[in-house]
Amino acid sequence: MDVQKALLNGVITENPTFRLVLGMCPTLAVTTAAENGLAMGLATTAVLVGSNLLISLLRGFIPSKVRIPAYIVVIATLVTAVDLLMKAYLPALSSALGLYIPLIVVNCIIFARAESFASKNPPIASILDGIGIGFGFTLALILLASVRELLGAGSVFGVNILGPDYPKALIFVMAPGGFFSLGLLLAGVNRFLDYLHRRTGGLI
Amino acid sequence: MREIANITARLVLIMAVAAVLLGFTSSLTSAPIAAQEAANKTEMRKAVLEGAAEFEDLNAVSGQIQAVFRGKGAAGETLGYVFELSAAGFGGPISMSVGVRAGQVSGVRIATHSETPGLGANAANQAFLSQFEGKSGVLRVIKAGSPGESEIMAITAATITSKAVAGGINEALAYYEAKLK
Repeated sequence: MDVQKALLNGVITENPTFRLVLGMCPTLAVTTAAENGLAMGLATTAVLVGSNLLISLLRGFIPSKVRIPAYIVVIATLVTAVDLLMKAYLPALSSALGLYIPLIVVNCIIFARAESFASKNPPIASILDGIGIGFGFTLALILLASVRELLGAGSVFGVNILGPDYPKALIFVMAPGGFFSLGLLLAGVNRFLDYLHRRTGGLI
Repeated sequence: MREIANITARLVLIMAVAAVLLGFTSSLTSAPIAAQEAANKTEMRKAVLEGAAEFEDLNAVSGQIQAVFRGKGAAGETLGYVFELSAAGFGGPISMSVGVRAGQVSGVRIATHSETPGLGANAANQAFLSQFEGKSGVLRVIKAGSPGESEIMAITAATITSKAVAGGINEALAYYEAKLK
């Protein structure tokens, strides 16, 4: 599995948000502003790479009958240790991303990749899978968060785009708007991907 | 039977290694984290009470107030007071520092909170907090119109958060009037 293939898989074929529809709780919760989406995406990518590597290395040792509790312990340990180390030695990074770390422990994308990929593949391929899926998740979060921020606050990444007279549709930064935006984007993105699929003769 | 024993042993081993690693990481990082937090707190006290060089803990606790510090200038004179409060916000406790100088709010900072991102979380922005600077007495939160002398404009769609922050500041001001003036 090469880098290009892993990226294509994570961003399009198995995009966690638009294709697998996994990790919806943190997705809906943090995508109120593009900046939050980016931070959550990057933090998840880092954890995903680490957990995929660990699970892949331990794949011969973990008994398949109790693999879920084993994954939970391994991933929770990794996330907690990273959180503590970040707090102690990288306080600036911790204050930017620290808020998202506890949300990641319970993110089912991490478990889904551990279960469906890392437990069956060698370490390097698992790291690449983590990068690809993490990248796809980050892009999806930024897209969703940008739509919500644009409609709800008139800005993207804090930069005002629609001007001061735009009547802010606040509902889009609140929970119901999260569902509206997600539903519309799911429909739109999948329609576009179908089109892409047909145009490229099934390549993508 | 053998299979169960094997599975149990492996799971126990995984848990034991995880526990040891976590314990080790925790003991390694607890001192730097505590130092970091102490530095952040001092930083925050200095931010809400400009010019103060040293803070003396008055060991006072009252209602939402968790600590009161006397802020001293370079020569040891009292410049004002810093209150550390925990107010009940919309999503959980809002931990904040309020500086009071001669009965007026000299600065407000929010240390930690769990308010709704994009809405209540905006309370931590200076755009909202700077409204309190220079204010005294009992402050009221309004939702519309233009704020008067002792009025604070609420954050849109985050009235509970706005009121929680204002409530904490009112308590600090009242404590100052009653006990420190």
